[in-house]
Amino acid sequence: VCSLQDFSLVDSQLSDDTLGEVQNLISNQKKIYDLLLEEQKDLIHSRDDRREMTKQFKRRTEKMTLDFQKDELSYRDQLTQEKAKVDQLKQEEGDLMRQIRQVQAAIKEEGVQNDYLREQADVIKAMPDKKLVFRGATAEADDWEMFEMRSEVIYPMEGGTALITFEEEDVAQNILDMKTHHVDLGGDCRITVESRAVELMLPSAAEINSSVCPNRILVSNLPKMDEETLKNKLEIHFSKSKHKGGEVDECEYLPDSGAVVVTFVEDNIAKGLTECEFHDVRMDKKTSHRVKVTPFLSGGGEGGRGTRMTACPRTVLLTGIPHVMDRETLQDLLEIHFQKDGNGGGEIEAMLYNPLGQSTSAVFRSVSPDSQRE
Amino acid sequence: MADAQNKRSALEHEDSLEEARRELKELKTKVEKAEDVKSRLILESLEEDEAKKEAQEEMLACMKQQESLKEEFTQNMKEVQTELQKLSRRKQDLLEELRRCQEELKAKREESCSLKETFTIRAHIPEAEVRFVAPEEESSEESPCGDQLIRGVFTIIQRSGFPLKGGQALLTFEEEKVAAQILRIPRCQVSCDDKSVHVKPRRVALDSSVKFQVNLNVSRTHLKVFGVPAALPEQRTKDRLEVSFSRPSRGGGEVKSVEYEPTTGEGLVTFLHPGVAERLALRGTYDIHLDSGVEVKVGPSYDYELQKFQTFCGTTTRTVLLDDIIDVEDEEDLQDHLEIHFQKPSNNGGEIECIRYISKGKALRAFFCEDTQDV
Repeated sequence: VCSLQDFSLVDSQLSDDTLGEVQNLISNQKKIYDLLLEEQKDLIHSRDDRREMTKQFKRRTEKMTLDFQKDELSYRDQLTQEKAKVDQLKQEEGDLMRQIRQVQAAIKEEGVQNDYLREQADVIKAMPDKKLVFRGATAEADDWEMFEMRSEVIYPMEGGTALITFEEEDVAQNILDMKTHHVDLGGDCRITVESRAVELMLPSAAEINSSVCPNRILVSNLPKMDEETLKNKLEIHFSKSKHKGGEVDECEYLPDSGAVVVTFVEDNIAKGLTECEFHDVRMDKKTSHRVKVTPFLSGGGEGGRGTRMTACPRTVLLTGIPHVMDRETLQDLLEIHFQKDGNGGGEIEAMLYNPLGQSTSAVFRSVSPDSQRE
Repeated sequence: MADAQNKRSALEHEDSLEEARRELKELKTKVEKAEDVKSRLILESLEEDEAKKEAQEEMLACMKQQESLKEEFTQNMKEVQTELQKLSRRKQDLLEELRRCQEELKAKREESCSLKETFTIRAHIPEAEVRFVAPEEESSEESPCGDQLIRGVFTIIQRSGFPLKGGQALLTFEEEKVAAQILRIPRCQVSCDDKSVHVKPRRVALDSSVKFQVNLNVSRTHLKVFGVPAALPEQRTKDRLEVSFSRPSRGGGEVKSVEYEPTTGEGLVTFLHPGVAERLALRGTYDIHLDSGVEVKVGPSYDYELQKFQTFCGTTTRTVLLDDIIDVEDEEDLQDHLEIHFQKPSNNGGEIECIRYISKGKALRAFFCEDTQDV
C-alpha cells in the first residue's frame, strides 16, 4: 500500500524534465489528491461520529443529572419518612417507659398500702374477750340475721296527747281504724279524741370503716375495783418507759364492755404496747393484775347509713285531748275507757297522758327476745 | 523535414510540457489545499475526540455519582430499617411489660379492696318492734333542745353465732368449773334406757363480733324539701315556700325560716312549733305554689352519728359442745337423757342452765349472748 509519504518521496526524486516524467508526477499528484480526498472523507466521518457521540453522552449526562436530582429528592423524602417513623417510635418508647414507671410506682405504693393493711388486719385480730353463754336462742341455719338492735327513743309529746301501748297488736290496729273515739268522763262530760299511728325513724343499715387508732390502746380483763383508782393505776403503769409506755393523755372507762381506753400523747407508743398481749399491772403494794392490751379500733361511718320509718304495731297516739280536769284523773279515765272491749280496746301495757301546756317525754324501747325483764 | 517535424514536435512537446508543468503546479496547489483541509479535519477530529472523551468521562462520573448516591441511600435506608425493627421490637416488649404491670396493679388494687373489706363492716339491721314503755325519768340536766328533737339511741350488736350441726348438742352449765371438768373428759357414755351413746365434749370457738351505737336525732321543727323547681329567682322562691308551708289548710304551720339551695332544688323549712314537721314528714309530699302549683317531696331532717364502736372476741366458759352423737332414739328423748346424765355430779356434771340437741340431717345457728352471771 502506498502512503502519502511514499508518493512525495517519489515526487521529489522524480525529475520534471520530460513530459513523461511530468505526467508521472501529475498522475502521482492526482493519486495523492484522491487519497487526500478519501482521507478527508474518513476524517469528516470520524469527526462527525465523535461529535454525535459527544452529543449522546451529553444528552445522557443531562438526563442522568435530572434523574439524579429526582433521586436525591426521593431518597431524602424516603429517609425523612423512615426517620420520622424512628422518631415516632422513639417517642412512643419514651411514653411507654414513662407509663411503665408510673404503673410501677403505683404498684409500689399499693404494695406498701397492702402491707400496711395486712399488718393492720393482723393487729386487729387481737381484741378484748367477752364472756358469752348459750341460752337457747337459735335460728334456721340458712336464714338468720347477723345483727340485732336494742333501741331507745326519747319522744317529746305534744300537749293534749296520750300514748297507749296495748298488749295485743289487733287491739291497737282496731283503735287506729276507728280513728275517732268518744270518751265518757262521767257526769255530762264527754270528750272526743282522735287516734293516730306512731312512726319512728330507726336505722336500717350502717357501714363502718374501722381503723387502728395510732395513739390508743384498749385494756381489758380488768379487776373489779373503784373506777378512779383503776384508771390511776393504769395511767401510772403505762406512762413508764420501762413498761414501753409514754405520756398518757387520758383514760376512759367504757361501762358496757368493762374496758378502759388509754390515750397517749404520742402516736408511736400504742403499737409497741399491743405487740404484747398481756401486761402485769401493779394494783397495790403487794399485788399485780394481768390485763389484756389490744389495739383500739375507731369506727367511722361515712357511707351506707340507712334509715327507715317504722310504725309501732302496739302503740297508739291519742290527740286533741282537752284539759278538762287534772292530769291523773283524766289519764285514769282514758285508761279505763280504752281497756274495755266495748270501746274497741283491750289490755293496756303502758300509758302516758301529756296535758296541754305541759311537756313530757316518752321513752320507746325495743322488744328484746333475750332479756326477761325490761 | 524530420528537423521541422522534430522542431514542431519539440515545440509541441515544450508546450505540453509547460501545460503539464502548469497542471502539475495546479494539482500541487490543490493537494496542498487538500492537505490543509485534511490537517484541519485531523485537528477537528482530535478536538471532537477530546470533547467526546470529556463528555464520556462526565457521563461516567455522573453515573458513578448516581450509583454512589444510590448505594449511600441503600445503606442509610438499611440502617434506618434496622433501627426501626429494633425499636419496633422494643415497643412490643414494652407494651407487653406495660400490660403485665397493669395487670399486676389491678391484682394489687383488688387485694387492697379485699383487705380494706376486713376493716369494713356492713350491718343490715332487721326490722324491730318498738313500743312506748314509760315516761322519761326526770333528769337533773335539762336538755337544751328537749322538745325539738326525737332522740334515738340504738345499740347494734353482731350476734355471736355458732353453726350447730345434726348430731351435736350445746350444753350450758350453771358453773364454769363444771364445764371445765367435762371438757377434760375425752368421751362420755350416756345411757338412754337400754341403749347407750358416746358423746365427745368439745370447746366452743366463737368468731369475733362488733358492737356499736347509732345516735339518730330527728328534728321536730325542721322539714327537708326536695325537688323545688328553679322557676323563680332565689329570694322569690324562698318567700313562696314560706307562704306555702304556712297554710294550716294544707297541714302547714307558722314558719320561722326557710333555707333553699337553687343548684340542688333542696330546701329546709323551720317551723315555729314542733309537731308540724313530724306530721308532714310522714305524709311525704306537700303542695307548694311558685309560679304554678307543684307537688314536692318532703322528709325528716335528722343527724346520724356512729359511736362507741368496739370489737370483741367471744369466749365461752360455761357452754360446752357435745359432738358425734348418734341418734339412737328420737330427738326429744335423747336430749332429756343427755340432760339427766350431765346433771349428775357422779358423772362429773352439775346444774344445767340450758341444753339443745339436734338430730342428724338438721342444722341450726345457735346464738350466744353476754354472760351477765357474776362468777
